[in-house]
Amino acid sequence: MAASRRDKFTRGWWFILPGLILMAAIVGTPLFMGFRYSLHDVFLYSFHTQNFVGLENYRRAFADPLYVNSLRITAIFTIGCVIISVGMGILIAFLLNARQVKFRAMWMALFLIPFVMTPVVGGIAWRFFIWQQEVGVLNQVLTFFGGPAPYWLLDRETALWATIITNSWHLIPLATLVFYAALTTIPDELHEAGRVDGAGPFQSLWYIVLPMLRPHILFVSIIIITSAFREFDMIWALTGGGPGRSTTVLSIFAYNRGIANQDMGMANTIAFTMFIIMAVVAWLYITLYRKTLGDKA
Amino acid sequence: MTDLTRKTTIAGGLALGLTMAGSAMAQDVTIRWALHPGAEADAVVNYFAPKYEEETGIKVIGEILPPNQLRDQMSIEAIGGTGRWDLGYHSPGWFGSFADHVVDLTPFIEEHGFDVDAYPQLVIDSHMKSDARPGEIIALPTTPAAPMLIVRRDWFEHPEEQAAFQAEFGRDLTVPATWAELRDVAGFFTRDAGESLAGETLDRAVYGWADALGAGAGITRSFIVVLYSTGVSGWDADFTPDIDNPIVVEAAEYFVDLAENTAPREAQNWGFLEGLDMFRDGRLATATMWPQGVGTVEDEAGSAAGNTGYAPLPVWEDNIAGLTQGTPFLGGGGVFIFDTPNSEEAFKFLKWMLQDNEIEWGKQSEQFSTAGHFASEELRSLRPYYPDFLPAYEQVLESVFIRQGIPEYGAVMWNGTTEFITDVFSGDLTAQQAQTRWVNEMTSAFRRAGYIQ
Repeated sequence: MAASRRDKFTRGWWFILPGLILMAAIVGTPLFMGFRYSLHDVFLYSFHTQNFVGLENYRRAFADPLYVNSLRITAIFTIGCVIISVGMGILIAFLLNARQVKFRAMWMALFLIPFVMTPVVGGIAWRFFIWQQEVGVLNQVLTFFGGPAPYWLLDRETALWATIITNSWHLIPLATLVFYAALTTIPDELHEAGRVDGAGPFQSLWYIVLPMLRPHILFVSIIIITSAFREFDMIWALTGGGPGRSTTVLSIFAYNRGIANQDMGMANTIAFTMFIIMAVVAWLYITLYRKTLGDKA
Repeated sequence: MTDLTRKTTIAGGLALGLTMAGSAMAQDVTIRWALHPGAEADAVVNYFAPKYEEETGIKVIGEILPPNQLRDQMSIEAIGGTGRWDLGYHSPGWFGSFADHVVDLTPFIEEHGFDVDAYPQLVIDSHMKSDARPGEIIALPTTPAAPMLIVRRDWFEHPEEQAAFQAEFGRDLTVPATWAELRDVAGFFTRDAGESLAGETLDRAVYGWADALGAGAGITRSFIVVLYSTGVSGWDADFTPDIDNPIVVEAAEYFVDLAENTAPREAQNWGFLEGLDMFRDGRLATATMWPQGVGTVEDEAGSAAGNTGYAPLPVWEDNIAGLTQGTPFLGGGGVFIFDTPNSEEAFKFLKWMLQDNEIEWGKQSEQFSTAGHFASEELRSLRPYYPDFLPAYEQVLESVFIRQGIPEYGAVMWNGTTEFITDVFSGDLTAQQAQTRWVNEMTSAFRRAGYIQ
């Protein structure tokens, strides 16, 4: 009887074992190697000479004001992307879901274009067609109305916001897609009841839609946070981390340390701190997400 | 069949077989080269590789990689031992990354009679030797290059401009001989749209000076030529940094002032030669130019064609090395041979291209480094501007800084310069703060490498 119960318990594990081994190999190996390198002096020009230095690389990283600065910029970039992407995603999904909107499939397909575009291509396109000082669309519009023609990507005050907006443009379709799908699951009766109680579109959004979307907002947020936190190619294509260090996020900082400085020990240290930060944030979000689902249930 | 006939037949068969096998082996050799983009890469891919294959049956495949990925990709392949390329782009500043992966060319040079002395001594020291592999020849120069100053000669010679300059500065308007003079001249020529220049009203703003100021390699390359002109080397023979000298702060503050007040804002987007279009189009009075850009500047569609003056970079007054002209690092590159089974065939190809076809290499690549190039009447008459450009460029190559071939060069000097000037230019740190940080980083790197205690 006990053996049968044990068999029943272990049988499931046998089924998932191949997947677990594969995942451990694919995810665990680079993670382990990255952590190992972070505890060593490893330079690309002398890759096979690796001296164990313990936590020295971490001490150097945390003592480096450039690391702290990159962490701050990454945080601003990530939060900015989450706010804009989620906000715009909800708004667009809500508008698309309105009864009056025709050709929804076409609109949806149009809105998805930025998401399927390679970030580096999107970055280059925005750099030359939108943000460019002389011929960029934005400045063309501004100057048409007698406004100024700023150097969006060359001014420290605007470069980070320009990268946030560009990256959000890339991520908004993901949010829109999820929120639109979620909106279609909200029973019409709720909207009907709201209308009967005199709720307008804004009150309907605030009191009916947003509470219903809460788990989806958390879900989309965590996806966007993880994406924005490690964003590299879009920012690289837009500003290369400049002007100065105003858009040097952690991934660019790690790249500079690893490739330009050839210091793979430090690059892996930065990457591993990114992993730890992301793991903590993801854990918090998942805990919150589960709690939200629990409340809903 | 008599014994003699049989033996003759067997010998003939063997000879034929060996010939065919040899031919098949020659056919099988494919030399692969990781190339930096530019006219020289085009010359290899479009001219020399097909011609060599036609002559020898040996195929040469040139793979042109983006400049900002070249070193990374080559070093990753080298560390991985993939043998993807037989030939690699050699930049003396990067050599530390490849020191363990390339062959010593000395035996090939002796066996195939490559004339090392055809190159100026500074080019030999910089592009053929390295502290990382003492006593060896580790690369052949293909495109050694250093920047120079270009000026709009017609504007400098214009009587109204000369008079105005004389009135403002109390001296003649001449090609700047010192960096301080360059600042005056660049400021003088920086004008807004609507103002007049050389007797004409400007449609668009004109700037006094420009060089690439883009984040990373752009601003680094631009500043480091000023830095080396101050006479600093980075460190001395005992690995004691000399960048703690106050002259480094002076140079940084000078550079920031020059860049902010006389260069177009767009220059902060340029990585290398992009800005020369502005010179060609009559929007720059002076510029720092790498020789690869001369074709752009002299493009007949632009207003600078035939009106461009060439000179070595200005001298830094009171520089600490007693230099008599501006002294940029000797950049550009060469080619090294990875340790692959094709190494000797690869060398034979290089010898054929660079030495047996020395003048043709100059013509096709528009790169000049040997005494033969500068002495060649054929090359001088190749373009209408070469009689002005080539002598000036030859003079530039007489005073260049030879980068130290230690593995840490890229980290401590190139990237150190990047971080230093980025911090100062952006205003994140004062020049003194950035200098202190750089000195500490360099000292720490040398200590980790075991050069100092």
